[in-house]
Amino acid sequence: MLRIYVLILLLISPLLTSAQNLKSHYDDYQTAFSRIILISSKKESFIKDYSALRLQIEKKYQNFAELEKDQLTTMGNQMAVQLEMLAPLDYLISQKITPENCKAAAHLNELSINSSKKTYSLINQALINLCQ
Amino acid sequence: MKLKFYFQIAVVTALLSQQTFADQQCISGTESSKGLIENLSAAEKNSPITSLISRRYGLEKKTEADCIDCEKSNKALLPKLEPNKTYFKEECLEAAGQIKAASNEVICPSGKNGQFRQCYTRSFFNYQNAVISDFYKCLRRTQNLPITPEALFEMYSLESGFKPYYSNSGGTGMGQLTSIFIKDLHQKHRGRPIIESIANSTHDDCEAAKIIAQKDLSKEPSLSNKCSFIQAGEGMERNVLYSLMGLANSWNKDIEPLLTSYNKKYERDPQLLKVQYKALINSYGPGGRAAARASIRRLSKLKPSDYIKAMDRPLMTEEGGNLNVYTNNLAKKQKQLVQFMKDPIKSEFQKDGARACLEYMF
Repeated sequence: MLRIYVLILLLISPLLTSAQNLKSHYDDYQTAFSRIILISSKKESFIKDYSALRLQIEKKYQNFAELEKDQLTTMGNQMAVQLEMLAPLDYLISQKITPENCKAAAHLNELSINSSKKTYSLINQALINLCQ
Repeated sequence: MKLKFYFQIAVVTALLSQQTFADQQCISGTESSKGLIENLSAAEKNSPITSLISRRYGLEKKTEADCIDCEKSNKALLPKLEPNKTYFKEECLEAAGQIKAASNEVICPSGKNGQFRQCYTRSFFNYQNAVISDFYKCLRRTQNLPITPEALFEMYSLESGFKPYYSNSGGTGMGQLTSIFIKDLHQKHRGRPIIESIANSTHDDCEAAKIIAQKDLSKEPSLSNKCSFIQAGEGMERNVLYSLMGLANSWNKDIEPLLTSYNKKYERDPQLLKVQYKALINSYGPGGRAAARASIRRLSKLKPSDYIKAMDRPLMTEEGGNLNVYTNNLAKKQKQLVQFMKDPIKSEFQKDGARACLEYMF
């Protein structure tokens, strides 16, 4: 009987480890995402740090997607939509922060209001802070 | 001899009047709510857009014309753009017309809201068929739009069951347009170049569409006047044009840039077009831009045949959102549609889906 338990444990342990591994990558991504929102609340830190952090977070998603292989986990889906919600900030960093560009960035955010209401609000607040 | 002649005339007259009667019968709604029909009759007399389209598609008498294949797109899988031909079969429009998609209706020109159960007839959907076909051809002439008429049939069936008068907080008219959608088309860094390309087009297929495009470039229309997106003669036509321009806008700005390497990798795969239009049409729905793009990020690791299957399944996020909400809803609606169909179209539809609803194959 004990042998069967050991065998089952041996079989499922790589799966558990893999799930745990994915979860720790997901948590790490969420920390980085919070940081990107935080630095986007002030013009100086946004201009200085956004591009580097944006590259980092993209890399974190790519690593996660590689670990996932053919799975399509809810965590991966969440990360992908959050990345896409950064489009207004991507737009603003590629331009000058002017009233016209701020308006265009806010418009981009409106187009994704239903994709994730929570992230929409965070980006909306960041845009208000950056554009005031 | 003379009697025989009179008899023949009587038979022909009877057949014609029977056809006219059938065209004016309500497919949905009540016989007493004739607002929509009156709208169309007035538009036939007063609207240059309606007269152009009616003449072009010979709505009273169908005409056959040779194909003038002057399409500039190199996508062999997209339909040829044949003048005077409409895309959808009447049986399918009749089935789609029986779908009740919303409870609130707007009656035009008054703009009054309510539940009028407006009479929706065959002559009306024949005109809608002509409008969609005409504007689709125009968009394909002026834009790179990888969408097939079958996808449009699915889209309008889901959005409104082809009813131009449905309107609620979620959207208005045939394409269930929202304010942000219209605004997006008028942004110079987003959709405005598409409106301009139609307004400036010299192609015959854009003759009717350009009337609306030119007018709207000088004054942006607003949903505060719902009839400008509902009423036959200009409004309903504007709704169709905007829904198509919106798709082209999404393709240019949001979808194609993400699919560039995928398109290159699978350029020889016959299923690629279906991947493209499924990814594109997903952006039309309530999920929003980011969700549609995130779905592409997630699924572009799959080969085209698997990608297409995956688009019909939910792609849930940790927050409970679904990145494929629109393509999932489209698939559900197509299943519902079968109950309103009769054989032989019913069995064809069960086998081939909305492709069975196309008037001619390509």
